Amino acid sequence: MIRMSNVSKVYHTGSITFEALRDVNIEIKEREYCAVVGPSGSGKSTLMNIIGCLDDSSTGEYYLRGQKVANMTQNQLADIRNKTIGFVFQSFNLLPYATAEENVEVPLLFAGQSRKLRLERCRFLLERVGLADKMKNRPTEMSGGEMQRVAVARALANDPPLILADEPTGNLDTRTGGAIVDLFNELHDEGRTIIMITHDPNIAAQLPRQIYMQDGALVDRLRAAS
Amino acid sequence: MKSLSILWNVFVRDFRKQSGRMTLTIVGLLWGTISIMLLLSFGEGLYQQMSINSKGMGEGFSVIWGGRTNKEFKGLPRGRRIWFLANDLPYFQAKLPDAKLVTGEMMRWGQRISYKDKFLSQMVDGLYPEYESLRALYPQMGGRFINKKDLELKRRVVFLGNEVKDDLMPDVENPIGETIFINSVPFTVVGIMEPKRQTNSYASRDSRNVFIPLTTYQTMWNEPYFDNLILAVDKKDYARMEEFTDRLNLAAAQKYKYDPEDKVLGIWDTIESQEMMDNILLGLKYFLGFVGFMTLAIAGVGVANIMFVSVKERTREIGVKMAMGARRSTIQLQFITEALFITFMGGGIGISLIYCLTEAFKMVPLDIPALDMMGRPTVSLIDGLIVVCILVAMGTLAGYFPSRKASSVSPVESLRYE
Ligand SMILES: Nc1ncnc2c1ncn2[C@@H]1O[C@H](COP(=O)(O)OP(=O)(O)OP(=O)(O)O)[C@@H](O)[C@H]1O
Ligand SMILES: [Mg+2]
Repeated sequence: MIRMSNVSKVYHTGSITFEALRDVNIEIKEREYCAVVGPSGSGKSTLMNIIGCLDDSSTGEYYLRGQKVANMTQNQLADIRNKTIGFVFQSFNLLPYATAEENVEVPLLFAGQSRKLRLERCRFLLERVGLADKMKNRPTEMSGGEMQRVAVARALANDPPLILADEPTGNLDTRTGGAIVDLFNELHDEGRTIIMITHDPNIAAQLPRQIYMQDGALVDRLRAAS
Repeated sequence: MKSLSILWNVFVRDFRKQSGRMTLTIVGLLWGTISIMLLLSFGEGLYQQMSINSKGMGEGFSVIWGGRTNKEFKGLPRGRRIWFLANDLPYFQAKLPDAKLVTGEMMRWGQRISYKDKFLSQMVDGLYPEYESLRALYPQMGGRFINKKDLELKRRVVFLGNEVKDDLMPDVENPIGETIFINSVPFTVVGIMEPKRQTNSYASRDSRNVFIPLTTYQTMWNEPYFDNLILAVDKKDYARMEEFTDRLNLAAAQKYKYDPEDKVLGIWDTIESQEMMDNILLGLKYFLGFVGFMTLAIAGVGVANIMFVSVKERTREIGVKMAMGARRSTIQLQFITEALFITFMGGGIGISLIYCLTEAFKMVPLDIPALDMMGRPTVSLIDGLIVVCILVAMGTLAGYFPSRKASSVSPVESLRYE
């Protein structure tokens, strides 16, 4: 599904350059379920954004489903973000003026789905994440857990094979966080590839595979644990 | 086709969601449009009215008066009177075959005009039938102007200025055929002048004049001399009027033996004054247009500002949408569509409102003398088109640049925007 070789990301802030990712080599297969762990600032989000085609790498090569991302046009990238990848953010990133239903509708809208299909799909997904009674609520009228469930429903809108979650439980308490993780487990059981950043060692330990990061580089588990 | 329907769906949805901000922008633009259209329509109304007024005397001619010589010429003394006779006309016409018309008239101030027990003291003007169109002396329904037959037969017929009629025979409904007296000589009324606005004149205003055939005039007062000549040219020759008057002066100098350089004749080129008037009015119109444009520019800056602010506010939104698979072009087009819609709404409503208002105002019969001079506000098609074009340009720019900026960075950058 994902193959990266020698991917680096360099940020330039004024005259200072900072290497947020160094020579990352990674392969993630179809239907894998990975946790990305590492200290704050280690480059987890940077990596995730590149995987999600929300950002581009400075050097190195990234293949998504065998296709070289660097060669894709803006429209191809947009379509990949729309149909292949479902992204869940730590800070939800819902549209503040729109209701839960309308937020879930966004990817469907850009996929050009008919109104009837959009409404059906929104209802189905919100029911699935347990928010059937909150369809007309705006983000300001929902709890953090509810907002994150809306975000998960939105990520599922176009039924993408790859789900990327950047600390989906970071802003939630353990119990609501657990419910979200249960949701991801279900999604994995359905056959999706899932990559999830988390700070919670308990959650990370539950997943089949862990990816450890330190100072922008991938490290093996033993060194990171020490 | 599909991307169009996507654009439309996104546009409609977001527009409904953010109608408050949109409405505010539309109102701002409406205000600007109303201001500029109001100014422009006042300018247009004034321009049209003044044009009509200044043409009330007729157009396309020069008035030429005889005078006295100031220099000796070929042994002839200075101070000689150079006046023109009725039989000079064929001579001038032959010398100026390309002129539209060379004619002349005679007038006498303070003649006693009476009808039944009423009398007035008015100017009497003896002239030719050509004056009808030349000087815009059009008869009201049922009447006519002086014609060739009148002239041939030296008929005692009279064409009255409308104010003379109103003063002399206020209660007479059909004055045609009535008999009035000019210095105790009976005349038959053949026509009453259609009222007109007239700001220029070289004697008295036409509405206060009494017009009779020149031949009748000559027999009445035994008068050989014209008071003035009129030299009219075709529209295509308007720019060459001075050349025509120079030639007429030369012809007169040859016949009456004076130095053509000696400024004997009095010449009033009405085309020239008309042009001057037009220029002043045009200047006024441009000035009003400029003031209006500045007003609109302020409204435009407001719109641009709101669009700009909204893009900043909506940068995160753009980030979210792009992360959810929105294409760059969709986002930019959405913003442009929004801006265009806003400008069209504000501009369209504003222009239609002013149009309806001015049209309604025209229907109201108001008898305010100021309106005769000022005219009534009029929306001209060109003004409207220009304003629409400016608005559309403004809308596109205001929508395009901010959204291009916001959508050209990577989604992460927009999402991180605070
Ligand atoms: N736009 C940017 N410009 C400059 N430096 C950046 C930028 N984005 C990230 N960085 C830097 O890159 C490093 C990695 O950031 P990243 O967000 O990937 O960390 P993270 O592992 O996700 O941390 P956290 O667990 O706190 O979310 C950080 O040191 C950060 O300061
Ligand atoms: Mg992070």
